[in-house]
Amino acid sequence: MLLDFILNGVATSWRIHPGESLFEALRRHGRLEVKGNNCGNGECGACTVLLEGVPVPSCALLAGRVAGKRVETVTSLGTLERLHPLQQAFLQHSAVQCGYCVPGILLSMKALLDREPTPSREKIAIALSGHLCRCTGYLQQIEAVEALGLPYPSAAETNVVPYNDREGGENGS
Amino acid sequence: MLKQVTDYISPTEIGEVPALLRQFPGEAALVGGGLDLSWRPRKQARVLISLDRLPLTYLEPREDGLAIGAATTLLQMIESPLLAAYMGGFLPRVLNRVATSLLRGMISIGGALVRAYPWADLPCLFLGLETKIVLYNGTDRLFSLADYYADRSLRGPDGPLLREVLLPSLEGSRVAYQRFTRTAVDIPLLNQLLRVRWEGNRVAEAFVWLGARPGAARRVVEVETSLVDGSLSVQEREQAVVRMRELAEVESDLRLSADYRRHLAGVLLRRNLEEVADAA
Repeated sequence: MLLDFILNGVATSWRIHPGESLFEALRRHGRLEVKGNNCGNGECGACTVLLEGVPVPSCALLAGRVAGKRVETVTSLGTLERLHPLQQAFLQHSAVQCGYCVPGILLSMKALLDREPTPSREKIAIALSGHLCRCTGYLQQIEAVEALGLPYPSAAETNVVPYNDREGGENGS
Repeated sequence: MLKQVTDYISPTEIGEVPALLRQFPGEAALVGGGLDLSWRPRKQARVLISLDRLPLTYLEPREDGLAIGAATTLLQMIESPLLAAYMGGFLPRVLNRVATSLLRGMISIGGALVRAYPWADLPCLFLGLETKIVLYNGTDRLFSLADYYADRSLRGPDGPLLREVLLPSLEGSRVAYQRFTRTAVDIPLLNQLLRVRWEGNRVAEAFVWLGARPGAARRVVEVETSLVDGSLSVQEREQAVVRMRELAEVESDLRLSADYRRHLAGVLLRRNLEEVADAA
C-alpha cells in the first residue's frame, strides 16, 4: 500500500506492507535515527517519534495509522552543527551516556515542553515514564529539562554553540 | 510485522464498518490504537480496518453525563477540561497512572474496554462508574458495560463496533480507586474501585469492584451491603476491611499468591474508604 504522510516537515510517499509498523517502515527507508532492535512492543521508548506532536513508540504503531499525519523523528530537532537547546542541555548535564535511549527521550521532552513550557519535576518524571535508560538513572535528564531556562527558545532563535566547538573538544567531555 | 495482513482499509463513514466486517468474516480486525494487534498478533486477521478516519475521537457533555468517542486516547482524556470537571477530576488523575506516558498516547478507550484484559485498569474503573456503551452494527444499541461483559455473543471477532462510551453524572457520589503494582509502570496485580453515594451523613449506596484478582473485575456485594446506612466511622471501616479479606474472590498466579491478594484487598479497601470518608 502507498503511505502518504509528512516526515519532519517533508511530504513523503512510501510503499509499505499493510502489516508493517512505523518503526519497520522508517528503518527500511533508511531513517536510521530511529534506534533499532528494541523491545518491539512499546515498552522501552527508544524508537519514539512524535505523531501530530504526541510521543508514541513507533514499533507498536502500525505504519498505516500515520497516513496524512505529521511524524517527527529526532532529526527534526537539531543538527551536529546547530543543536536544539534541549540537546545542548542534555550534553551540559551529562544526560547522555551510551545515547541509545536519548533520541526518544528528547522527543518526549520536546512534546512535554511544547504543551507545558514550565513543567514540574513530577511532570517531567511522568513524561519519562515510557523510556528505559540504563546509563544515567534519569536524574540528569530531569535536571537538564529543569535547567533549560524556560520557556525555552527554538533552535532558530538561539545562538547555539556548535557541538564541535564546545569546550572540551568533539566529545564534549 | 504482521505478515499475514494483505489489506489495510480506512473507511470514512461509520456505516462502512459493518459491511466490511461482513465482507471478511473471521479475517478482519478493527484498528483503534492498534496496540493490541502489536502485542498479540492474530493469525487470522488478514484485513485491518482502521478507525482513524471515522469521527470517533471526542468528548462531549450530554444531558446526564459525558460521551466519549471510542477512538479517544487516554492522553486526550487526561487533557480534557470536561473530564477534569467530572467527579473532581477523578479519571484524569487515575488514567495518568495507567501504562506509560507513551502508551497513553496510543491506547484508545474503546480498544481497552473491548479487549478487557482481566489485569487491566480500565474495565474495573468504568464498571465502577456505571458506564454505558453504544455498539454499532448498522444501528446503535445501548448496553451497560456490565451487561456487555456478561454476554459473550456481543464480543466476537467480527464486531459489533464499540462506538461510544457514556459516563453518567453520578452526582452526590464519591469515588476512589487503588491499584497495586510492582513498579510505577507495571500492570496492576490487584485493583479496586469504591463508589459511595451519600445522603446526609449516611451511606445510601456503595459499590466495590475488585479487579486483577487475577480474573476479571467483580463486585463484592457483601462488603457493599455492610457499608450501607453507616457513616464510614473508623470502626465501620475496619469491619469492612475484615469482611473484604474474608470474602475477596482471589487466586494465585505467577506474580502474586492468593493469600497476599486477599491481604491487599483489605489494604486497598481501607485506603479507598479513607479517601471517600475524607472527601465527605
